[in-house]
Amino acid sequence: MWTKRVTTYTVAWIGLALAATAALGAGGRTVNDPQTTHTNVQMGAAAEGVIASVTVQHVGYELNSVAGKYRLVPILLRAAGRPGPVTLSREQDRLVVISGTARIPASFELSALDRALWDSLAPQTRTWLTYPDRLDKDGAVMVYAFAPLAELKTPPTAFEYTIKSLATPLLLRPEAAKAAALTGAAGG
Amino acid sequence: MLGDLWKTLLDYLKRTPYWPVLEPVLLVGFLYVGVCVVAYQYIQWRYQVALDPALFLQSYLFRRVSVGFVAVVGSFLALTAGRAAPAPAGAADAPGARPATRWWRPGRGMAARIVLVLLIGGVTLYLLQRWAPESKISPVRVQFAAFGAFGPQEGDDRARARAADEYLRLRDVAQYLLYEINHRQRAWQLEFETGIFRADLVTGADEKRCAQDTTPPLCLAEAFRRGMLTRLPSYPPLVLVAAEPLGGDGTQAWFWLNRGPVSVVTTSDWGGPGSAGVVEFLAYALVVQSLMIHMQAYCGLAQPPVGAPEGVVIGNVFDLQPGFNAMRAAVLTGHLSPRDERRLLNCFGPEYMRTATALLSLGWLRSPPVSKNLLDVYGVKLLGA
Repeated sequence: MWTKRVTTYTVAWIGLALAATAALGAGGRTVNDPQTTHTNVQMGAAAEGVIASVTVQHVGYELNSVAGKYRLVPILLRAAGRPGPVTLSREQDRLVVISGTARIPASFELSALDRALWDSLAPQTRTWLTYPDRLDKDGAVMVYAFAPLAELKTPPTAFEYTIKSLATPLLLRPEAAKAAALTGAAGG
Repeated sequence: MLGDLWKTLLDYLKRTPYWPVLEPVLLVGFLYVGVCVVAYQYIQWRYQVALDPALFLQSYLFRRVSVGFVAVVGSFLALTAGRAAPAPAGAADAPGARPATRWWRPGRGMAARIVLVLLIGGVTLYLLQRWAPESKISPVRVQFAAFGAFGPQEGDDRARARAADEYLRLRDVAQYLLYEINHRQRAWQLEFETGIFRADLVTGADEKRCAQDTTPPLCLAEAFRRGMLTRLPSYPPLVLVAAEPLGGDGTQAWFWLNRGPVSVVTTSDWGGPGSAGVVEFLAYALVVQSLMIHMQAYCGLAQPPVGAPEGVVIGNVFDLQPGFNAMRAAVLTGHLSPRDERRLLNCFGPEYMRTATALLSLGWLRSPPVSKNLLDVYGVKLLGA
């Protein structure tokens, strides 16, 4: 009797675990993780062979800030099918955060924005935040921009990322599927 | 003659009442001298160097040989002291003889003897490891500064853009070269920092101070490393590569500068990142800086060399700088003087010395596989290829 009960529970747990694994493997969405990914990939293609994406996790976005003065905007840059590397320029590349009708310039150079804050960071953190000078062929790199918190009243709706060495700016808009899902979740 | 003298002395000693005490001492002494002579000859034969006996006696090799010898003798004594010697043949059968004692019979005290031998072995291994030259050599980190990090570049926009591209390509090549160097030797490791260096990675105060320095790149590199050490105490020595001149009012700082654990190397004085032979120069410079950093840290090398006559160029690696016009010759014929070879041998051991000699000759760089990789993958044609 006791053996039968243990066997039943064991089989039930294994079944539950398998079902959960299958659900996650099938792309089950994480509960209570409201986020929007903005990307320049439209209709499955990236302009100029560079994919840029910004994922805004809305809880973190609302609650976190850099020294109460800036929003941190991490941008994942990936080269996709380009014949060579992409030259990046801290002085000439630009990021504009679009929030409704407002266009708010962000900076890749925190040391120029706020030297005291920059100096207070750990040296390794400064290294991580330093804007790179190149995106390697078939490579990926994370770059970080800082947008002034006072001007960014509402969540961003898009980003305009200008890389001087590319012919046109990259416009990062919300991914359609996730945006729809997010709207549904927010409405519910 | 000497043999006769020695024989006479031994005969005399044998007739003295102290001979039973002197005999084992002399025996051990002879063995010790013999072992040292064999080690000395072996090093000369194995690494093809003419080694001063005085240098050998001051070296870590002599210490290690001595410790090994003492350990063997100590272990032997620990196992045999106080034990009865094997009885002569037939002695056990003599009338009135006591029962024979087996010389190597485990008995009381054997455990203590084994513990003592293990203790000797442990101390010996500790000392050998402590005196192993490889154990004190640190890796060296190589980082590239951003193009234009230390001042504007000359030329029009197109020329600057081309130079920037060539500099980025040189960075890729340097990364490959570091892997080749690491692959070919085990004496030390060169680490490649993928993040770029910018002047604002140091604090604002340091940046201002270094702007007033005669050699801003070296000043900034030192400040950067100091900052990293505050959070990462194990941060390795740094070689920073830049495309801009190093300062020094145009007369003091050509090609590279070194102070303690920090070096800066510029491609500017060679002719720029796209000039012929810049890959050879960079490979040579990285090896030289690694050696200089190690020798200053562990070997008492002073920069500039004490008493070095100004203007005398003999092409040795550790000359402060070969001079603007002599650098090409130095790169093409990179070698260590016998004095520097001995110095490296004594400080870091034969493996390191041999590695340094081989790397400085750049023979590995000009070998068919490496030169082919450079040409096929990076489009770099070496001088004379």
